[in-house]
This record gives sequence, structure tokens and C-alpha cells, in this order.
Amino acid sequence: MSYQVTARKWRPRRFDQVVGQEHITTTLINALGTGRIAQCYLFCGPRGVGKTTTARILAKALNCANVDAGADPCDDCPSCKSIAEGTSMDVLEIDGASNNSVDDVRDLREAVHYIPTGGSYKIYIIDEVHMLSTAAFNALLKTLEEPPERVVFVFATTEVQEVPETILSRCQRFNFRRIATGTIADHLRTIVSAEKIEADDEALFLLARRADGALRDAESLLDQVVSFNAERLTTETVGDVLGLVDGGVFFDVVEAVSAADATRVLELLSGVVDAGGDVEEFVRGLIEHIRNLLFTKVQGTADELDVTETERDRLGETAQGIQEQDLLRALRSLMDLEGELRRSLQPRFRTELTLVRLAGMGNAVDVGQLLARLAALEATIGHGQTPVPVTSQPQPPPRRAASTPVPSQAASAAAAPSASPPMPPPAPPPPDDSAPEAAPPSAAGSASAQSTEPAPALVSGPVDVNLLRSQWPRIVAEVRQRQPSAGNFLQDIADMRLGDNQLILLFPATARFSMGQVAKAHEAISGAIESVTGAKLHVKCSVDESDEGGGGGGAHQPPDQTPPPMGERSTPPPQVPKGAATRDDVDPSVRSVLDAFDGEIV
Amino acid sequence: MAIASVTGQERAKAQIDAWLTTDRLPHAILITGPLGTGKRQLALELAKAINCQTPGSDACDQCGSCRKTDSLNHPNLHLLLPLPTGSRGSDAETMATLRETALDQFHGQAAAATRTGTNISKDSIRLLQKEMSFAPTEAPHRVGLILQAEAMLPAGSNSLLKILEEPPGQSIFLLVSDAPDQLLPTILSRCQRLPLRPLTVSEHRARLEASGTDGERADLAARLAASGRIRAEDVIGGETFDELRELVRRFISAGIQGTDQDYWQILEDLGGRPDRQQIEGFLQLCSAYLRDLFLVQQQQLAAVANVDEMEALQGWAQALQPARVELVAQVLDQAYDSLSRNVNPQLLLADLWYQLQRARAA
Repeated sequence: MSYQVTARKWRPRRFDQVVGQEHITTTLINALGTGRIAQCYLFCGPRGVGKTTTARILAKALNCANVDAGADPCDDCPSCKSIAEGTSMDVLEIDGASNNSVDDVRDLREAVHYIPTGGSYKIYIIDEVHMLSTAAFNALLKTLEEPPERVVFVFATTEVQEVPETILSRCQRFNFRRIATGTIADHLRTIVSAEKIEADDEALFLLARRADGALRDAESLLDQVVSFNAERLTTETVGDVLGLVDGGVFFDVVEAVSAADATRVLELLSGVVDAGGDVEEFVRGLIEHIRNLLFTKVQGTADELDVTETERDRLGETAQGIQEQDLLRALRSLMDLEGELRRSLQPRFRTELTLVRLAGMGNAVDVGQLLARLAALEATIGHGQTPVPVTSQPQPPPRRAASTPVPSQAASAAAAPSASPPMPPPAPPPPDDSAPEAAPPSAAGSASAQSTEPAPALVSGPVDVNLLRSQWPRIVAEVRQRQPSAGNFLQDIADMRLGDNQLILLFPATARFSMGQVAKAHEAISGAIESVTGAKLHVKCSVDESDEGGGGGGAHQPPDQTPPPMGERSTPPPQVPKGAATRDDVDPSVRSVLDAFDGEIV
Repeated sequence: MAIASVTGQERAKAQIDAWLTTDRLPHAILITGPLGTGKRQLALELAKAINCQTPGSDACDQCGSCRKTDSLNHPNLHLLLPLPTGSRGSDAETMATLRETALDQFHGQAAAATRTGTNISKDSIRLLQKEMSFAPTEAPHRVGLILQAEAMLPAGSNSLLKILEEPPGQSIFLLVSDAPDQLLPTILSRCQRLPLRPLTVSEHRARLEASGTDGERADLAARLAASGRIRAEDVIGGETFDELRELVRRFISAGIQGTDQDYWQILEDLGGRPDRQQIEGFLQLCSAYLRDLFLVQQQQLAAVANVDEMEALQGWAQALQPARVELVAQVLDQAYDSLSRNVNPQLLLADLWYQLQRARAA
């Protein structure tokens, strides 16, 4: 058969014909020029990028009889010709996958000592070297480390991770790269002009993109398209032959999904299937498209994408009208879908379901916007326009974000027990990240109606400790804005006391470090208090003395405070040891004696 | 029987025609496509056409070459397919049965999903490699036909790489696979692809009409076959199918509206311990019904496959939450997938039942 596929016909014969691997060809040419020939080369990289080809060219160059040709092989001398035909005695191309046993390697070791017959080097090209057995690799080690003079090994593989370290360390390794789409397209252009085939640039680009970085794939695809329609290559013929789904459909699908038009989505998919498109192909294409949109959205430009000019403009346009969140969500769903399609009873059905679900979801609300709205709402509440439940205690749960206002459940839960003062009101549930909505005003209102005293006007009037407690989460949030770390440390406080123009923050003895940090930030805190309550207070810190006797069990109720401190609510009230209650009342010096001798007051 | 006799697949046929008429036949062709699209049939017809002695781009079915290829006796046709587990390839009886199966499959008589074995050994590939490197004896080309190419073990597929890239002389490799993603990328990159598409409703209908079936039954068969992995012949075939379909109908209906009592009843009617084949058919029909239900919910009545069940579908569509349909479909697919991994079929059905119940509209 006179016909040869393009990939074979156009297999490069000289270093300068190798496409897209300049970093390797240059190195090899320089090595040849200076005579620094390594004894073993390892070529690795994805399929179809030129590993075997480069190995053959290297073999030719080493043995080329034509000295004037420079580092490149002349491709004309008897040596070069015999290598090209595969008849050379000095170049042995071995299929590593078929000759992978230790016996094969032993044969090779025996033959390796014979000197080259015609040329100056004997070259062993072992292709698919990753398939050699472990024993075979090990049998090769000694020969590889110190081969006879004038022997060069060239290994080629796609799976370099399967090659043992000991082999790797004896080789000069060259990593072949995936070839850029543009480079492949340029090369295809060279081929079609030499073969006198008319072709649109976009069609070649489409082929190149489809080849996914491998030149051989691109050439196979080109063959297929050319044999089908030899006169002229256009995007239509390429898409038609390869069964590609027309890129325009993806724009339509994304549009229909974001318009929540399920019927249109189903119509579009029907259209693709009826036109002979493959469902899996469609899903893959859609994923690629959404990925492009996401890229455009994040990057602000589509310039770096492998897309045509018209697509680029359209991507930019579409990306503007779509939320990043929606794209991510769609991408995730579709990627899950892609994995499951292969084993599906009805791939088309599953695709329909996913697309309809995406269309039905509606557009995501940006979390940033939501937070901004929340902040605005908080500010409104802060200015006294909405009553705030006093029963809610200012205890931020440890190590949790405290910026969330009291959710409505707290308000309703607070209703029952607030009548009896000694009983602590139930703790507000920890802020739930997934439900950031502010408490509806009605709920807050009902809670305030249940409270024993009316909500204080915030700006005017004397500041009392209850007000501070009720506003505490907001104060903490305010502090956090000014000084984030201080906000966190503030959560460790056990209690607070109000002196004249002075707020004393009490810390449990275990949180001395936090106390120190908060003390440093006293200005930020008093600023925060002022901005929330309007009162100017001097902030001081001290250790909660009442806490020391109780160990880590939580704060005790200080004598001068009516509302119970917060510590007790999160943990059950500690079992107060006998005598400890009196111990709190005695003089500190007596207490230190008690502590030192582990004593008890009787 | 020639290439033209293969149903549908106009694009693939045109591609083959273009290859043969322009004499640009590549040396490695990979025929892919879902089950039941006629891959093997097309592959054999292509092998015939390549070596046909009568001029023209299609097989003549008359010459010696065509007839030998048809009966898998051609000396230059090398067939590679997974051998049944345990057979050594030398056992005459096994090979004879295997040959029968292969013949049935090539001529479209066997069920599409029949697999002859689980893998293609390295040794068989070596053998093929050796045979393919000889010059052809009585035809212009040696043809290596590899069925279920994804069943080649890694060692085997790797040793195919060199010969697949630069086959000696006049050799042509035809690979057939319904799961090309399981092939090595290095193999894929060496082949030109010939993707076959699932047949459309009208193609199925045309095929059935050509074989002498028409009317409502043919319409139903065509619609069901186009919607999923159901064979039109089974639908036409008769009572077994009808019985199974009735069971599926009852299963879904009871799952949506009935009680657990019905479940046990259906399980009993399935024969107590349903075997894998039965469950497979059961799941296929379930999936077909479910898609119809979804289409009714989405007001796409024209695409419904079970056209004779419209009334029931309308009822179910109302009783099932649209948002839950996808979950049920997911469980169906998982069940189908687990079948090949020896999962207890009853468990699969129980799971499906549970999902249906959860999907009921409140």
C-alpha cells in the first residue's frame, strides 16, 4: 500500500523538524557538537510528542558519515539511510514491552560487547522501557553504569514513574512537553500546504485543540478529516467528521440554564443528540466551556485560553452576566455527572436530569453581598430602630464567630424562664454559618416583650452592665474590625464589672495570656464600646478572683452582680466543694495560706 | 451482507467509503460506540471490504475472500477476543463454541452484551503480533481484528504499541471497544477513530419494518430501544418481556403509591431469587419508565417511550417529587453498575424501593 498515514510520512528526520521540543533538541545538538555524549538517555513525556522520533534522529546523528552536516544528521549518507529503513546493524530498536524478560536483557548484555560494524556508535533504542520486568531492569544496571565504549542507550517511555530509581540515576533524562495548541496548528498548516490541501485556520485550530498536546493525535485527526473531505477543511467539516458538538450550543445551554428555562435546555440537548452528537462528548464539551467561562470570569479576560477570536469575545460577554458561584456549582455537578455517565443505563437521561436541576436552582446569591446586607441590618438595629432582646446574654461561644446576631430560636427559647431572675436564660445557640440571616424583627420584638424591662435607649441614658452584656456580641464584632486578634481574645472573658467610667473585664485565671492581649487593645475596645453604646468608658482588665477556687470549671457569680455570668450556661454548674463558698469571702492572705496547705476553714 | 447492510451509522459508513475510495485506509482503526450499535458487524464488513476481490468500495459477498471472512476462515484474518476463564486456547471444544459465539455476534444474532471472557492475555497478543508481521498470503492485507479491545491486559496492550504504530507491510488493525476510555492513551493516539452512535427511534423503526414488524408494537420497541439499553428484538419477542414489564410497572406504581406488602409480592413474582439477567432487564425497564416520568413532569410528551402507558405516567408524575427523580435515577445506575460486581440483586431492589418511597410527594 503506497499510502502512509501522515504521522509516519511526516515523521521528522532532522532535529530542526522536531516540533515544540526545542529545549531538548538544542541540548542534544550542543552535546553532539562538543562530543559530550552520555552513555544513556531517557526520553519521557506524553504520547505522540516525539520521543521515539528524537531517539532515531539522535542515533542517525551519532553515526552520520557526513561530517559537514554539523550536528544534524545529513539524512543522505548510507548510515542515515539504513537507520531510516531500520536495517542498520548498529542501531537496534527494541520493543521493551515485548522483550521485557530478564532473558532478553541477558541476550542484549552479551551482544553489547561487539564493536559497531559500520558507524562509530552502537545505539540501543528501547521503546516502552517501563514494561521491562524488575529483574530485567536490575540485570541492566551494571551494563548501564559502565557500558563498553561507543555504546549509547536511549530509553523512551510514557510512564517514567514505573522506571526504577537506580535506572533513572544512570540516565540523562529529557522531559518531553505537551505541545502548545498554537504550535500544533502551525505544524498542521505546514503539512496541509505541502500536501496541497486547502484549510481554514479555525479548522486547523480545532483539530489542534482536540489533539490535546500530542502531535500524532493531531496528525491522525487530520488524516481522518482529509480522507473524508479532501477539497477543503472548514470548521463544519472537521466538527462533522469528528462528531464534535458545535461550540455555539454550549453558549445557548449556559444561557438557558441561567435563564432557568428547562424546556429550552431539553430542546438543545435533543438537537445535539438528533444531529448525531454523543452525550458524553457533549458533557465534556460543556465542562470545558464552563471552565473557560470561569477562567474568563476570574481572570477578567479570555486572552490566555485556547479559543478562537469569536469565542473569546463571546466568552467575555457571557462571563459578565454570570456569578462565579453558579459556574463553580455547575462545574461540580457536571464533573460528578461525567464520572457516572460511563456506567449509566441512560446517559442522556442523566444529563437531562442534571441540566434541569441546574436550571431549577436559580442563581446563587453572592455571600459577600449577603454579608454586606447583614452588616447594614446590624447597623440599623444598632441605631435603635429595632428593639433588641435584653435577655440575650453577651456570651460569645468560645472560638466561634460572634458577629451573628441572636437567631430567632433564641428569642423564642428565652421566653419561658426569664421571669425568675436567678435562673440563667438559655444560651443562644451557636451562630450557624449556614443560616446567616438576621433574626426577623418580629421575633426580636416578641422577645423584647417577654423581657422584664424595656429595652434601653442606646445612645442616651446611663450605661449599665446589662446593656453592655446585651450589646456584647456587637461590641466584640466592632473590636474585631478594628483589631481582629483582640476580638478573639475578648471571647475568653468570664465576666465584666462596671465602675465609674470604667469597665473592668474579668478573665479566668487560665486565660492570663488573653488578658494581656486584651489589655494592650484597651483603646480599640473603648472605641468600640463608644461606637456601639455611645458611652465613653475606660477599659481595664483583671483576673476574675472568684474563678480561682473553682478551678477551670467556670466563673462563679460575683457578689455585686445580679445577672449570672455566662460561663455557667455552657457548662453545667460546677460542684462547689464544701467550704469553698466561705473561702471566697475570706481575706486574700488567709486564702493563700489555705491554698499553700490545702486547708479548709472549719 | 455488506457495509451498506449495517443499520444506521451513516457517518461511519461514509468515512469507510472515503477511506476505501481514496485509498487512504489507515493502518489502525478503533471502532467505538455504546452497546448494540453494530460495532462488530461493521468491523467484520470492513474486513471483508478491505480484502474483497471484486472492485468497488464495498464487500461483494460473493467472492471467495468475502465468503471466507464471513465464516471466519480467511487465512489473513486474525481474530483476537477474550477467552473464557480457564480455557487455554488449545481446547478444541471451547474454541469451537467460541467460534460459534463469535459468528453469532458478527451476524447480529446474539444479544449485544454477550462477553466471551474477561481479558485478552499477553500471549494471545504476542501470537497476533507474530502473525501480523508475515506478508499476507492470499489477500492484499492481513487484518487483525481485536474485539473488546479494552479487555487487553496492560502488558499486552503495551506490547501492541510498536506494531500498531508502524505495522509491517500490509497489515491493518481493527480494534473494537465500547469503553475506549479504558484503553491506553498511547493506543488511542495511534488509531483513527470510527465512533458509532446509538440508533435513533426512526432508525430502529426502519430496521424493524425492514424485518417485517410494524404497528404499535414496533413503535414501542423502537422507542424503548432508542431510549436505553433495551433490545428491540426482546420487545417484539413476546411474553417474557411483557411479563417483566408488567412487574416493573407494578414495582414503580407500588413504590410510589403502594405499601411494603406489594414489594414482597413483586419479589415473589420475580421468582424469589431473581438472577442477574432478569435484574438487568428489570433495571433497564425501570430506567425507561423513570425517564418517561421525568419527561411528563417536564411536559415533553412527544419524547415519551412507553407511549401506551401515558395515563399511568401522568399519575406517577404527580405523585413523585420532581427534585427526587434524579436521586432515583442515580440509584438505578449504581444498581446497574453493581450488577457486574456480584452484588446481591435483592439488595439492589430493596435500595431502589426505598428511594422510590422517599421520593413520594408529601
